[in-house]
Amino acid sequence: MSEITYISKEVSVEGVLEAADLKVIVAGSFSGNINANEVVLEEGSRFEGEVEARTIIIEGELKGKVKSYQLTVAQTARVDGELLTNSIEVASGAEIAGSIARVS
Amino acid sequence: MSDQQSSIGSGAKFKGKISGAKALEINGDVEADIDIGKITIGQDAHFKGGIKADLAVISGIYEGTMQAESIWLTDTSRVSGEIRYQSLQMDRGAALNCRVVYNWDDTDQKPKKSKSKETKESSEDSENVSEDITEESNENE
Repeated sequence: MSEITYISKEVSVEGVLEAADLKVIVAGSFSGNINANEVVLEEGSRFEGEVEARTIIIEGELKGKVKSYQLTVAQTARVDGELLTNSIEVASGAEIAGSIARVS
Repeated sequence: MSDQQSSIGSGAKFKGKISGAKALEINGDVEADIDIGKITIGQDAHFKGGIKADLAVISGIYEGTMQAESIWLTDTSRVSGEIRYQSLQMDRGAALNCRVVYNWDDTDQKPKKSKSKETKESSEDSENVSEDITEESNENE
């Protein structure tokens, strides 16, 4: 449990988070870069910047660049930016604006 | 899950700003300035930067200026920089290499008498001046 990085609802964070083998959950707002193993951007969260992880689940609002091996975009998500992924799942109702490409 | 407090995990590195948190637990390597209710710096944590808090519990390495109502330094804590406190608890083994200041809030500690005296004197001066003016105006008449 102590290995999880959690940004709760009322919190806003600005900066660079390096958590290469770890899990990061954002419920609040994050502006900057995240590098982790698994990232969950929960419903109601706001992310602006670049996020890179093996698996990424987007349920909130995202603006920027996403790079992941496996990407899930949930029904509640609103995404604006560049998505780089090998595998993507988009739920009906999700809003995506921008580009989707394979990770080279 | 939504009630869970914010935390920076062990092994994670963060540099930046964190705001709006009521409580925060740090187990990773963090460089930040934080204004918060309660902060816990875990045994594996390394924190660098300023802290303003109601309560700070330090078990890891801290570098910077900390200002807290209550500070608890556990036996594994290592502190450098400056700590300002109202209430301090230190466990045997805590390592301090820092300035320690009690009751930093010197705005409350300054004697208020000197200030009130000054204001009294100045008000007396202004009364004198007004008297002078009235005398002058009487002469003119």
